[in-house]
Amino acid sequence: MNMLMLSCKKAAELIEKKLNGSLSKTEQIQLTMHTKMCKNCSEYENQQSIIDEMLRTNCKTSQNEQECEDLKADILRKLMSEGK
Amino acid sequence: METAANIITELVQKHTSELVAYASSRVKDREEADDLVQDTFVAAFKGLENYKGDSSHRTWLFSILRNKITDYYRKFYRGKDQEVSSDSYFDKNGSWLPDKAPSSLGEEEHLLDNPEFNTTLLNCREHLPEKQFAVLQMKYYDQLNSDSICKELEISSTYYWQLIHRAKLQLRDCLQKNWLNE
Repeated sequence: MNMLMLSCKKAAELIEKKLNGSLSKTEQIQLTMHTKMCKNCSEYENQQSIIDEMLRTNCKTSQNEQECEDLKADILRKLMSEGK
Repeated sequence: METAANIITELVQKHTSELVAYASSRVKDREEADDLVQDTFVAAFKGLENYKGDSSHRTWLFSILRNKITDYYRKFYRGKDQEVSSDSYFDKNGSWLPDKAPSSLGEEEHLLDNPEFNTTLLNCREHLPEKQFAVLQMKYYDQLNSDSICKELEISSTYYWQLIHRAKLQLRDCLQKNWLNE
């Protein structure tokens, strides 16, 4: 019976594993039993799947055009001073 | 006839922006990302006469940049394959610490489409330690599988999963603190 009792710490690890689709049958049962009883962990599971989805669809931060022009100028200056 | 200087100038004008976008998706520190792009062009300029033209200039530049990023990270991770603890989130019995316990973020079904929530998430991501940021970006942004990430960074799979788990714990906690208080 004891093998069915997970700590929240362990449950959080299994939730990460579940999001990667690598949960075993036993782990699946353990986790479901835990999240049914534990509001915090069931909240954690919902939120982590939202975070996963958002991380997958989100690209990197905006680029500042002026910064990019400055960098181009820096690079060219460096290349021309190093080159022959 | 086109000189090497003309060619490299054109490449810098044309590709800097996308190379920086890629480098800064991998490397959190913006100046470091810029330096890696600069090093890429320096290496390209030197190697220009040996460039065979069997791949496009763009592909060639990206492969130089990818190698530079890998070198940067290997240096960064080397010898630091230690335990990543999640103890600051749980007590000794493995229960959530009171101020870390997940609570509702509001109407969660609408969060995915909420641009402000998105911005909060990106800000939280900026606050991750560099190593966690890198594995997170490789997993979600580049969509590499765990085997290739471990191989590229020369880290163990256990360590990799600890880094990911730790990053996700921190991201969620940061969202809870910043989203509800805004």
